[in-house]
Amino acid sequence: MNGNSGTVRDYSSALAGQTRSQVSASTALRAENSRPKKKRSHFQFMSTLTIGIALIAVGGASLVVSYVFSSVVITLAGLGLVFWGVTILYISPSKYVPENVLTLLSLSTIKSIDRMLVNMNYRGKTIFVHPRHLKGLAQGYVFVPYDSSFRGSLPNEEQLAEERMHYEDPKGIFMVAPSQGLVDLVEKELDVNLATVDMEYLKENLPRLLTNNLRIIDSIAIQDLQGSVRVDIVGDSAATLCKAVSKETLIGNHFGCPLCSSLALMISKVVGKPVTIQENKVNDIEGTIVNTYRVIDRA
Amino acid sequence: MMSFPATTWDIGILSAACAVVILMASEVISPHYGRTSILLDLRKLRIAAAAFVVAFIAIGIANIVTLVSG
Repeated sequence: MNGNSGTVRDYSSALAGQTRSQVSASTALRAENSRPKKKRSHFQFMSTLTIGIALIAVGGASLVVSYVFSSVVITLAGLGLVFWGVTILYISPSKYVPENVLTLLSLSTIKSIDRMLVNMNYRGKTIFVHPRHLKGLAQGYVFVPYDSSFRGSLPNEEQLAEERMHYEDPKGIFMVAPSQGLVDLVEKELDVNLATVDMEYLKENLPRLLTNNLRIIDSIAIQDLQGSVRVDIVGDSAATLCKAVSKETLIGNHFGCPLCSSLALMISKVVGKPVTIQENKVNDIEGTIVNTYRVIDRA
Repeated sequence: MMSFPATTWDIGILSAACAVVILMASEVISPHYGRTSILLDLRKLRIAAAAFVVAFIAIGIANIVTLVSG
């Protein structure tokens, strides 16, 4: 109690130099903070583990009682409770991360990159490249040209192998792709190096993986067109994030959301050529994304 | 006298009933019920239903074999 009183006195002396309105605002904030919080967080969820264990415990007790009293009714009730307890324990998802958290984390990362590139006046269209033949470069990269009308070639393989961030001819920034993680996960799940497969393999296996196993989207269709690849995605979460990236960043349309840029890297690795996002249409109300990736022949 | 009153037929019927309820639940419920924030993995729920069906069939076959042989 004395410690608390001392703390309050310290606050009071610290507040002595402030104006009356500042003092009243500070007092109100302190009162608000000390008030018990009635509203629980949206992200807090009841553990199904507790429910499952409780059901098993009650069911087990019922079975013991039914054995003592030879009651069929209590036996069936006990068996039912044990069955449901085990079922609930089994069907509980092992890991749970609220969608909003992942969306905000991804969005803030892309906004940070966007602000950096815009402040440095890099306005070119992002080129995704997943080298297959370079020594030491076993992952995806993005090249952001300085000039928005850039139509030239990327630095040659020897230059890229130096892993510099800035290049002068052509002028641009070369950095590790932020969405490389999903490419690695897809390769791990499919147990294949995407550099060794063709587009047919990707069209056949990627939809099943993304929809059934990873469950980040509802459906995906990949069409291999002449010199470009069209990808139709259906999924509310992905569309919401993609729309937010397009809306809140200047580079969003060509830098892509995590999913769109991962797909660009996968396509680049499969075809062995650099890729850009030529067109990105997002409808967050219907939950659809339509991307057209252009495969660049001159690397 | 203390005894376990349920027979294998009872457990088999209970398994079948559980399987039907779980299978129907897996088709109609949402994986996330907002009011209690309980999360469910519907794929595993369907697997659980299949397991109950398998248990019911196994118990049924075992009982038939017992009847025929005994």
